[in-house]
Amino acid sequence: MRDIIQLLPERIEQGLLTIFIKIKAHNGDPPNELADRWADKGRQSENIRWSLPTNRPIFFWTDKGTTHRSHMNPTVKKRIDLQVSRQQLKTHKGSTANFLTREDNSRDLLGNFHKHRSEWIRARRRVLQCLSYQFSCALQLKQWGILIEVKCRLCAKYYTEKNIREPPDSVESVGHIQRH
Amino acid sequence: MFSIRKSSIELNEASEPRWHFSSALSPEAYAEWGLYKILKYMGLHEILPPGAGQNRAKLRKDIEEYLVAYAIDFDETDIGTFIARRPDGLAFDKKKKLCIFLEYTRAMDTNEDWAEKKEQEKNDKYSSHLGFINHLSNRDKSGWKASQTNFTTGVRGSLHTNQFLTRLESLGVKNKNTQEALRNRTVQKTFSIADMILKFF
Repeated sequence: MRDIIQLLPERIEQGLLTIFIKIKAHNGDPPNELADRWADKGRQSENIRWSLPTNRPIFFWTDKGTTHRSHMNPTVKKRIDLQVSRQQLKTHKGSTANFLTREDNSRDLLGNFHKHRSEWIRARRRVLQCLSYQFSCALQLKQWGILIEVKCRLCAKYYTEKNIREPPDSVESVGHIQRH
Repeated sequence: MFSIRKSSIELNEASEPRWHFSSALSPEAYAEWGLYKILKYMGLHEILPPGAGQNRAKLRKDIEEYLVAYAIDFDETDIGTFIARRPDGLAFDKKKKLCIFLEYTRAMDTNEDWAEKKEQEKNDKYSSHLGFINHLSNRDKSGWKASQTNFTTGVRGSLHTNQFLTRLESLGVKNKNTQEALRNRTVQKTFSIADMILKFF
């Protein structure tokens, strides 16, 4: 197999066409039967090292005291995402990060709820809004025609606390963080 | 917050359900019992026929006696509030003569100590009631002991897992799957309430 693969770049350079055809094994195909015999012969050879490491990276992780190892697969990807999010969460000092990193507060159920496909996507979004204290700003709601009042009650409260006299007319984002 | 049946699955020495949740009306609904009913159930107070007019007077006298004995400052309105207060749920163990006040609370979980603060508040609310029941029980030598168990959930789905499961176990919910299902359902319910409120925002 290695010989064939090494041959491929040379054929490509020469502009030759290479076609791979899948042959059903153990079906009487003469070259396949020959390959089988070579394989049997090769297996008996002492020079063969089946334990030769491949170049594929192997990932290790420990979960509940058990160490697991695996090549890259969906489970490993999930674990990496989880580790990255945990690391990133530590760099944040806000109230939401503090809320999410609290131990023994049933955060596992929050995660389950959020990724549960049977939950309506808007419900999941609202839960995120709820836990991050993000609500639509009144200015944005006016643009959508939901509110008549332009002044945002939460913004006004924040500007008063910060002693800012003239609140800006435009909002920076739809999300509105309630300071506390 | 979650459903309660009339009696627990846990059995006592006589192979009868250990806990009785007498104020539960159905798995989904329960009545809030006042002090009269609680004391009547425990045999510490006799409810006289309607019109006798002595129920409130007798109970008031007992409460006054308790407040004086423990040097607690009070006035007439305090006693009225004291009688009117009703715990969310009740659990009775007739054999061991235990009465447990159940309090279900949905608290704001902004701070780290959200549950501790709320539970302290709840304990303070009923400490004098528990003291009064224990006082009456000692006086009448009936052997009843009253205590309180709180089930506190954060508005954003926070729930102290170990504490919650231990408290469920103390009330006869020994099955791990049932405990987990109850924890799951409690948090799910909190999320749906939060969602319902936000829908109207």
